[in-house]
Amino acid sequence: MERVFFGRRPAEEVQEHWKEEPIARLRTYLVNRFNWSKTQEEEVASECEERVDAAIKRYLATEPRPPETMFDHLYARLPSAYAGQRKEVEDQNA
Amino acid sequence: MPEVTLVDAINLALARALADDPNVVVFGEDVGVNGGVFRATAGLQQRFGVERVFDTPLSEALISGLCVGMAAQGLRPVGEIQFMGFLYPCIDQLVNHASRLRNRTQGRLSCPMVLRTPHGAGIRAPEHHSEATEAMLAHIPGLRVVIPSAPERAYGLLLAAIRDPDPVVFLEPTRIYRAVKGEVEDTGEALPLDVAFVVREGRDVTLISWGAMVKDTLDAADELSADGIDAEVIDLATLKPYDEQTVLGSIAKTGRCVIVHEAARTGGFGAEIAALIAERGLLSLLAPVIRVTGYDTVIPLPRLERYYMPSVARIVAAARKACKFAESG
Repeated sequence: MERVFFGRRPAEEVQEHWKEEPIARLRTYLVNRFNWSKTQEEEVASECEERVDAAIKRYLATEPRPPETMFDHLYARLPSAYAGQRKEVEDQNA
Repeated sequence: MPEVTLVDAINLALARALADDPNVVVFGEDVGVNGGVFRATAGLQQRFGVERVFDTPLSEALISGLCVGMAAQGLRPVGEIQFMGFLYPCIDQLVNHASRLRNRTQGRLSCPMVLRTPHGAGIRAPEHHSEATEAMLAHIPGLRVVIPSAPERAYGLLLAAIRDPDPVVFLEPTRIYRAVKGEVEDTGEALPLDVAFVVREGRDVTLISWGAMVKDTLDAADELSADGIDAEVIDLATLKPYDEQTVLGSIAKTGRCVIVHEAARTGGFGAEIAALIAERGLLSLLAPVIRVTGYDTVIPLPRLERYYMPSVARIVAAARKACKFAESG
């Protein structure tokens, strides 16, 4: 909570709104209704982190495509007016 | 062959597209029951039904968003914006979605939509009804910008736009909706996009224009011929992507170029053509490229608009100046 910057909003007003803050309310709901524990929360957070890290690693492991492919899905067929620009990118990075 | 007005040619093309392809849908403000503010869609709802030709709420953002969604799901939507001055709420959809859906999804989705809107001044309209901001649209990668200048090209280019697999903004020259007539056979034959039309051949000077100004440019060419100046007139027709080869080929022949557009001068599409000629046609030039354009001001209300619009006299004077420059040089 303390990490969030609220600018010039008065502290009492911020405090008041935390009561309605949806994520905090969801947490309270889970705790009250399903006996949601801190351990469970940490497990979910760590699983999410692992999945995101794995996705980032998968992406970084792919080979970047050749630069000139930036033109390849601009139109169904690249208009001849832009063929020269595509070739320029290709030649510069050959 | 029957002679029709430009707006009738639009109507014919829409009817032909609706008849030929069950995926074509036409909609906009007053497009259905009323038949359109300029009657471009008159009779279409009666003929093709309310599911294919329908009225929308007064929301241009909605019309353009509807186009994007329908096109992405395989329909061929043709949305109408009543005046170009009302197009600006569509910019978000055009720039952020229509023009780049194909790129964003690497070809999985595409956006074969057409957004039609009247373009330009000269009809004694109130504010926001006389806009010519085509250069703004022509700046957007992934979009096509098309503007006919005669009934036969309106028919053929609109059919091409509707059949094109990518998004097209189709600008319709309001001033000549009913002021020009031409022979249009309703054959369903489209004209090519991305191609400029040499509408008059000549040797001495190239006059380049688009939309309603092509008519004035042709009138100027007639006047110039009385002086012995043989002007070539190019109707650019597709502004994005435009036909550089036809422009450069003509300049190589004539060595002189006058660009005519009613849009404001600074950053207008004429500047793009002048830059192309400077980069790739410089050695052909016998005189500086001259622009005859609207001024860098808000398009005036009716009583002053004729002082804003490029006149035949201004086009003639510019062409004479270009020809004289070469003589004195």
